[in-house]
Amino acid sequence: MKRFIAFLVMGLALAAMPAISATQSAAKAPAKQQSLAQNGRFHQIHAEKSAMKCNACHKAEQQEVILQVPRPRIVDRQICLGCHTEGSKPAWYGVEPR
Amino acid sequence: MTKFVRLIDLKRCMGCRACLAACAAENYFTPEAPWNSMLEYEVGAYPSVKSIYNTLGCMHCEQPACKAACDWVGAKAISKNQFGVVLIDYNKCMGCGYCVAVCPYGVPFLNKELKPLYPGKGKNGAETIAYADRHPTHRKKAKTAEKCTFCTHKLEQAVADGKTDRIGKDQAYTPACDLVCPVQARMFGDIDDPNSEVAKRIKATNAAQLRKQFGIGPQVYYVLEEGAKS
Repeated sequence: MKRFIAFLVMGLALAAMPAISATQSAAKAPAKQQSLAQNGRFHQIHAEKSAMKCNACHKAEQQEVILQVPRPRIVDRQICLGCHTEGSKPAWYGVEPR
Repeated sequence: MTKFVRLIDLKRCMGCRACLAACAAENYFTPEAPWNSMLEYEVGAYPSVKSIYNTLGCMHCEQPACKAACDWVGAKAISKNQFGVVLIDYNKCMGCGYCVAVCPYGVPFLNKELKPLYPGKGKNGAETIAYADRHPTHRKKAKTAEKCTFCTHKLEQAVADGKTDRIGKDQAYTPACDLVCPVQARMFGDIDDPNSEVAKRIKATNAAQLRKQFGIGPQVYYVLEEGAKS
């Protein structure tokens, strides 16, 4: 009987492993892994997981990008508002300071 | 409460960039990470065309997106003090650049390398002060984010001298950029004091914050020239 219970517990633990693993991978990456580099986590999330095209953020023309220092490959943060507002995670905009 | 704000009158600004030069000398900013920028664009159609000059430093937002992002990545290098000034702790910043990415004004810069302001021409302004003797906001490090601090070293001096009422009035206690404007297009002071010049002028001119749609409560107000982008 004890052996049966032990096997049962082990079986349940093994069955739960994929779910636990998925939860952990969805959680925030360690601070040192956060990077804006093209192969970094920021671009992985947006370009790979969210399947956003480069030109969704990096506009070819700068004329309409006002109030930002004109630099190559500049990003208009207007697009960020689509996801990163209060109520979403992570939220950058319209969030009361903690 | 005391809440310091800046007013910039784009109708007066003629684009001389004295405010940029003053900031550069005062805050030892390096060419790759300016704390104050001048944006210039034209509006209208020929022959009624005019140039808009828009100086842009940190907005010291009420709900700073940079701080939200910095907290989220776990660095917690960005704070907002009792005067509403948003500051970056260079010792905590790990150079991830998330604050640069999320700021709707494009204000913070990642200073990849510490360079002199005028290479080959000796030290300039705050560069002449020994590193250890500088204010913490001037003890810059490579690969960290930087931005305008509302000249917090001057505000701290006002507190230390018990002269917070002179902030925005006396040279020693007023941000460098706001002191040098030859056409009085800039003003700094306490918006919570209804008798302050800045509060009165914001009200009188119907000055507006830029990019309000982001909901982060910028503390820099602009008197917008007709046709200027908000």
